[in-house]
Amino acid sequence: MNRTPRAVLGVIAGLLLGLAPGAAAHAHPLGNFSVNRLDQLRLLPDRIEDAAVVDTAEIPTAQDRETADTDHDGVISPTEAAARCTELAAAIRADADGQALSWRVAGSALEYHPGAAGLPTTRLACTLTAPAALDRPAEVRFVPGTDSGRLGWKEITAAGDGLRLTASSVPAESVSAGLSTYPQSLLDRPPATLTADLRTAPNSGEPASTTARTGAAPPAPGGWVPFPGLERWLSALVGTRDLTLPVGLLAVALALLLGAGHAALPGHAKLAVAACLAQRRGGLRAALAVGATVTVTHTAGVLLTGLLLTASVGLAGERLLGWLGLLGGVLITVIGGGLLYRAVRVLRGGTPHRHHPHDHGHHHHHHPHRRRLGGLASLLGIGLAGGLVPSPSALVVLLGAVALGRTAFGVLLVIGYGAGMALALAAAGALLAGGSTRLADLTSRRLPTLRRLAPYSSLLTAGVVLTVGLGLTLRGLPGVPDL
Amino acid sequence: MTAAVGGAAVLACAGALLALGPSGPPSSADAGRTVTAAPPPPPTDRLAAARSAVRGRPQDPYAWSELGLAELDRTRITLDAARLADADQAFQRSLALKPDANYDAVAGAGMLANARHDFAAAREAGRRATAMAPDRPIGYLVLADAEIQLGDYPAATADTQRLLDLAPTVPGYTRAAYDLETHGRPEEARIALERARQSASTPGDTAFCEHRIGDLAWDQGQVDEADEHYRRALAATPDDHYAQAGRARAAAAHGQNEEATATYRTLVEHAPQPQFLVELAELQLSQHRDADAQPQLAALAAEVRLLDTDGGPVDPTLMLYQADHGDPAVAVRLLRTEWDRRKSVLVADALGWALHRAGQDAEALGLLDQAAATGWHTASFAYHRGTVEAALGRPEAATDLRAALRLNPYFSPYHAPQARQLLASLPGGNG
Repeated sequence: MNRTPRAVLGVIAGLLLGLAPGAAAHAHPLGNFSVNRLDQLRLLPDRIEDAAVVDTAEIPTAQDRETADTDHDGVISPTEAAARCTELAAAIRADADGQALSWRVAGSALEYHPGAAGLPTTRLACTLTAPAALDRPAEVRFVPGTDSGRLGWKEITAAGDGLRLTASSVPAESVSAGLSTYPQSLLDRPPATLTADLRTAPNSGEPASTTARTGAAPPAPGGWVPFPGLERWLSALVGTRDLTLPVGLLAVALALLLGAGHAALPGHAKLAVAACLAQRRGGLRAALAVGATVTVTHTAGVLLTGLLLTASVGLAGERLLGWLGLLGGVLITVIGGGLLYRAVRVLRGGTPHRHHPHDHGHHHHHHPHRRRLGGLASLLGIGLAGGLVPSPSALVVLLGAVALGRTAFGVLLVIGYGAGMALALAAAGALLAGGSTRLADLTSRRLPTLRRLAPYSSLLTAGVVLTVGLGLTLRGLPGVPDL
Repeated sequence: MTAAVGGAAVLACAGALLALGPSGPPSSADAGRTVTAAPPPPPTDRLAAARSAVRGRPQDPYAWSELGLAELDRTRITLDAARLADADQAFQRSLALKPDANYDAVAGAGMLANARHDFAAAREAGRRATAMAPDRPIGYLVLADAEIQLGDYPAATADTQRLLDLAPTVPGYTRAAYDLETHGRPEEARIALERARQSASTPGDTAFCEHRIGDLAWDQGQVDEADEHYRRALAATPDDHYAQAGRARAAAAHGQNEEATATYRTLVEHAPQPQFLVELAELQLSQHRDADAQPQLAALAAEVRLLDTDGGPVDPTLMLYQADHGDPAVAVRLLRTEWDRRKSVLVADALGWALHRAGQDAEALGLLDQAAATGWHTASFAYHRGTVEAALGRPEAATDLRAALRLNPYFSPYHAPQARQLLASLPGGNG
């Protein structure tokens, strides 16, 4: 308790106080202050086995050696190793389906290895076993009781033997090869795993041991991307240090491809179907119009969102996307409602929207006096609403380019992305338009009775648009989980 | 017509984005901003955030220097020296990616050198950083920390003042407080620490300021006030190791030895720093529980042995242990090399005491004179001086020993009784 004046040193805000200078060079890969622990669990139908290893560096070994050498004869006897394992086993808190497990020491070994400056380090290995009824599905929780405040590596692994692990919060294999080689990478160390949560199921027949699967990968941010690899490639291209012309062209080509892929997403395809149904007589021109509108709105939407995100840091990207989605949904719902209203009026009212028998034919589609269900305005409205939600992948590419100081290139890529979308949508629309004409011809010729049903198709169309709009609205509502 | 409107909208958006968006390489702040604005929410933990940034942008020198700073920041809490190698690696990576004008990495490497007690290297890094950007504060922080430990006190004061002028925040005030304390002005140091605590924005900073105020009070013998500040530090950050040590010290001063021992035991398991090990060992030795003190003494001996093998920077606190409970000749040898490296009053005091323990009192007094150069009055300094003076038969011995016990009668459960005994044995020492 010698309160000598001491050195006070610092890091940015607070200060860093006299670290033990001896620790500056470490023989132990994790510093000569560390106590490192690994629990390797093997789950069998009737028991759980734990091969526990405690690797203690120089200083804690010095602090501890007196305690371990209980009979103070300078030699570590087997009883001392067993005593330490018993102590270790007593600290474990584990249960299977709420039933507390009690551990028995099946084997123990304590070794000293020379470390830095000839000082000993300790390696304690304990084999523990606890009976557990795992011949039926069970939930297992394992807490080694490691002191979390103590410096060092804390690792748990789990694997099934004669049963399956259906869920596991820990990996099956030790990343440190049983505390023998500690990974040197800055990014994955040191783990501090203080609990393991496992779910087991009995093996249905197969005798081979199955290992646990690590926690599922988190879902990609911003929803489903048609070509995740392609998108990563594009992002990487944007990030290259030297942006040459071939690389730039390749990036634009990739953006086109990604745009086409995005247009094939369910939301857009549905829109194309809805729009083409609404514009059955619009044909290719209508398809092109929808494609172009969706593309222009989408490009503008991405650029606007990028602009907003760049300009204001506080606006969270996800929330903005949610609101845009909601807005688009409401817009489509309103248009769908309008279509429904008109269709009902047409059905009830005096001007039946119906083909005269002599009027059907191959040139029917391009009839100059064709009537429109919703008119050009509603068609553009659908396109507008459909393009309003910027696709996350386009946004990521743009923001990435902005972050790298290549705003112009990012804008070019988004425009390329939009062009890709336009092509895909127009192609799909044209295909559907052609198909629907042939179908209409077929039905009106072969099944004359169906002709009477024709007016209801506009009702059906309005219903589809309304449903799509309502679905988008629900999806866009904050709190409604994203599909 | 519609196409024209749509085209115009696209053009307008693109134009605005081009006008607002950066067109050159981003600064680290901009890069960080874009990352936080992107859909995946950033991790709240600084180290985790820095790691994910490095994973995302492995070629970005700013991401690497931020990772180094985050590693250093973590070390402040855990006192885990192993982290320093990681921080070093991160700064080296950053410097390899951007060898010129990389202020963050140079200043960070300076902080790292200070943390490793390689003060000469830290001063060098601090000079490079301040030459690079004379108006940025962190370079002066590195310089001030290095200079005060190197014993260049006028330069340390000047750089602390510069730091405070540029950024009157926690780092500046805490450095100012340490500078004032070193110059024997505890009241002003206390005021600076109060300012620091008021501007502290994180629990870690609050805890640091509180435990430093506690230390100042303790050094003036105000045990209860010190304990109150340690308590507040722990309320802000429960694992502030220095506040835990402070509470244990106060408990021992109140005679609650069991409580003190229990607190110390957990502490030395989590952070086996020389200061904590010595305090626990000496508390146990003062109660004649020599066997209980053995693990602590063994750990301290191991630390001395590691240091002797490495030839690294010498911690004066560890050397006081070595002088009192080990071979004083080893302490003298190690401290002489450290004294060649830096002329800090702390090194002078420890070397003076080690020389006394090795029987070289005449030389010891010369060093203790140098230890008094800044006017830092503490019980431990006065006790060392009084003891050496007594050994030399100097008349001032009683005055100094009395001063030590008056400053803080609880300064050490092991040494305070020895000071009293020595004082009683001196002619005229009974008063």
